Amino acid sequence: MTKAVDAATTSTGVSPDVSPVAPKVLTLVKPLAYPVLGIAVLMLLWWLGGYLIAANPDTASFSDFAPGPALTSLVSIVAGGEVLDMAIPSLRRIGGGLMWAILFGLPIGIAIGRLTHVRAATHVPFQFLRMISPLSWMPIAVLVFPTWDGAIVFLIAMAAVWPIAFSTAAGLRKVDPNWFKVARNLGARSYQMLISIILPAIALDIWTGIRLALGVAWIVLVPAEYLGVTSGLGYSINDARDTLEYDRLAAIVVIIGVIGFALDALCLAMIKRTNWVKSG
Amino acid sequence: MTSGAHIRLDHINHRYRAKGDLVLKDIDLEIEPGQAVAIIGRSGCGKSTLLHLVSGLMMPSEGEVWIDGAYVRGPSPKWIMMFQQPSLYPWMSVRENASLGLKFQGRAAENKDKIEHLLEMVDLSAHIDDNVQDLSGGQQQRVALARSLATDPEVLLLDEPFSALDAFTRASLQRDVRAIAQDLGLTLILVTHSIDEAVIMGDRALVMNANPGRVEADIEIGVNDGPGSDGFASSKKRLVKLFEDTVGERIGQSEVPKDAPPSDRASNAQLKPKTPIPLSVAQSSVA
Ligand SMILES: Nc1ncnc2c1ncn2[C@@H]1O[C@H](COP(=O)(O)OP(=O)(O)OP(=O)(O)O)[C@@H](O)[C@H]1O
Ligand SMILES: [Mg+2]
Repeated sequence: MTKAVDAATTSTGVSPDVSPVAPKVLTLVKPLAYPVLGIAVLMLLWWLGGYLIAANPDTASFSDFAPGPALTSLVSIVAGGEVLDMAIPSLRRIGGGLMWAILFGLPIGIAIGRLTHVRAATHVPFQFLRMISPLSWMPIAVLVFPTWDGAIVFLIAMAAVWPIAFSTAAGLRKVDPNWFKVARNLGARSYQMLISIILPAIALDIWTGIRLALGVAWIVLVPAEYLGVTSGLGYSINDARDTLEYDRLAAIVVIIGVIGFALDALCLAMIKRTNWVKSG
Repeated sequence: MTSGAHIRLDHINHRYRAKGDLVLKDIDLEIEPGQAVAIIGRSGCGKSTLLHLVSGLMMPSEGEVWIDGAYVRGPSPKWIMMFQQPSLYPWMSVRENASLGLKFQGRAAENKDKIEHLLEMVDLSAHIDDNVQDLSGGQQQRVALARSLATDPEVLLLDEPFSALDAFTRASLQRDVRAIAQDLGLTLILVTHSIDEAVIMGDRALVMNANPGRVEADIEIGVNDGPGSDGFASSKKRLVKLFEDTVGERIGQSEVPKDAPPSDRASNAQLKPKTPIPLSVAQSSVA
């Protein structure tokens, strides 16, 4: 990069103050070009969908789904701070569900990854449980948990625990067995083995699991919030549908997407941070 | 500092599975403090297994290992194993890797100087805060050596520690490890596939045979001044002869053959001449 800038400075020569700036701006803008293009295409499709809905007399009453009304509504939801009232209860449930998923998934994953007997014994039951849609636990959750919130957190945890457990286990199985031998030889106690060797060795896999878990948890959240509760993004969507405020409904969909994207980006950043492989 | 420990192996039999083959049979062995013992033998004869039993990383099916009169019931930083791969922790710096044993004992902070001194001893002063992934293979093995020495071990157990290195790096590490072990008076057990290495580093050599793994011969290696010296050549000649008599096959080079079936061995040797360049000077006298 610097080389290119230098070359530009020397070759243009005439206006040395200005020329280095142009490539710099370019290098800043370039990585944004593709995402901007992608978003533009998405907006175009949204607009086209809205146009088709409005043009068809059968569906014209849903025309507020279009970007115009939806974005207007989005601005008012965000500006009025209502977005926080919707998102915070949802985020709290996601946080609770993920916390339980990590609390159970991490030790389960470490046990599967380290102990062949545990792996052999749990393979069938865990794969079986994993394939059950988390939402099918709903009736049971509602019976077992005294509050709706508790039931939703349970459903999220049921969805999130498997990616965390399996990713942890897979990470552990890739670990060089000599790392354990050396640490044992150097006198590591089990908690030191966990803190100094196992967790740093598989931090990347754990975060990859959390990222996957967050993905499914975020998907489960909205239908789970259709249940009983009177707060959260899922509830707000349902509410907007009942009151026929389609612009508001579309705006909430956008909010769900944006928050999900941000949470995912956070996990991605953690994955990058915990990756100890030096490339190049 | 420390000095070497006395090691005694008492009627060791070992099998990996309850009804499996006997991997080691009737091993009785005594090693004096500060002695350097080289173990040679064909692949699969149980050399690594024997080392693991001495280290306490594995327990023998039968028999006992005693180090300085104490029954070995598990691993300890007092007897440290080193492997072919340095097995460093890639998320740690050179210093963090070297201090790990002390950290486990909660003594890393007060031993900063000691670690720096050790890293200087293994020629890594310039790399103390580097990530270990930025080092060469030889430098990485030196970090592993510093890590092993940091907890003041009495015994070093080396399982082909230099065989992944190029000939020059290997020669310098052989010299350095030998010198350090002598300085500190450490007891050394070295598994190797190289007769040269056995003669360079050992005071004594054990030849093992397979099925079941057993110690078949045990000789003193005369003091020598390394490759090129008369002492080296004659010690090597004796060891080569002993190896051939014991294992029952001739070896044309200084490397103990790995797995090659007899018919392949000659062509194998031509296709892949082994590398010990600085050491090969002395090899012409054998075979
Ligand atoms: N973990 C294990 N489980 C079962 N059998 C094993 C195990 N490790 C080694 N063995 C067997 O024990 C025997 C001795 O193995 P060992 O690794 O000690 O040999 P070695 O002399 O070190 O060989 P090499 O020179 O190839 O390193 C071999 O037959 C091997 O197949
Ligand atoms: Mg071995």
